[in-house]
Amino acid sequence: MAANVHDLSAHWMPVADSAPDADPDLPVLKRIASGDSAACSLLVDRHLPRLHALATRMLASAADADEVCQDAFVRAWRQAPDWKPGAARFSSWLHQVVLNLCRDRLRSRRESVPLEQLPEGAHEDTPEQAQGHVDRMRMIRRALSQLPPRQREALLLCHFQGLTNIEAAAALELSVDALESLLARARRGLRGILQADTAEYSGVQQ
Amino acid sequence: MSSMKPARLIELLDAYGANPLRWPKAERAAASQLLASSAEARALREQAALLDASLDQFEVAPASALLRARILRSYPPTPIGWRVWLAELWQELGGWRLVTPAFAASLFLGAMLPNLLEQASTDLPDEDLIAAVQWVDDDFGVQP
Repeated sequence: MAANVHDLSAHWMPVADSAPDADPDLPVLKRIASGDSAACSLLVDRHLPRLHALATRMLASAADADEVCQDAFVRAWRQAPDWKPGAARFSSWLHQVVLNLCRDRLRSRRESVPLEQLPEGAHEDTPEQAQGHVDRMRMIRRALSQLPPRQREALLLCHFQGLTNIEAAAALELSVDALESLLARARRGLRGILQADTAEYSGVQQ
Repeated sequence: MSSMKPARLIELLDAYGANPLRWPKAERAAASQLLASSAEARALREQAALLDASLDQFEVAPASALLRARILRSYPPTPIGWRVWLAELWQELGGWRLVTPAFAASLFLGAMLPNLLEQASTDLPDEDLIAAVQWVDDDFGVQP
């Protein structure tokens, strides 16, 4: 079953703008550091869905996304005893780890258009609706794949992952102003690509 | 009247889209006020909402229960060997992102170092140095 990203209340969890001392993961990390495996379940349930979605959108491969997430959580277990609350939240650090692992995989694959290969998300429409949905999704995926990597990452973090601007900027190691500039360029570029694709698609349909 | 200028609202819509939940928390109230009072701002927001709706169609399958179980089985982590330690250190330092600047720096040093060394050696006051060494040599061991 595909994650329904339309329902923001269920899948998009905005968190407070910053305040590292209010990081909800801190008590969980302390428990993990002391050997409490139940706390691991808590951390996994809290972050795995979003991290896996990010890795899948980056890598266009569920199997690769699985490996990246597993690797990221092993790093989290190792990091837990040494984690010190600082400028960034633990969730930002996790996103950064996943981004870096994904970048390494993309680099080693040397794929320029990875999103093209993503299996279609499941849906429960009629065959005609389903086909239309698949076409639109393919178009979005192709448009995203044409964006420069940093712009695509900024958009994935802010639009799909629900990170605040401060968290996304931390994960990308940017200032908030630079993040906003990347996002604006990403959305402008995407709009242009989609308009061109839609015109082309309409032409083919006629 | 909103304290936000229209130009800032346009920046917010351009960067974060139409959903106020994605806007910076500190600016949400002012942006909403401006939207309520400006038909032009609402039209811009509609445009941003169209792109948001397109993006929202990019769905992916959720993580499997099998993956969740596999991740939980990886706790506690096994002690890391030196190869893994090196790989993780490399990653922490920036991984392959370091290669380009490191290569550029080594090229720069390789090109500049011989020039700098040559410059340094030609800067030496050769004659003065020789005279000084001779003076030390001449005076060495001579009783006053």
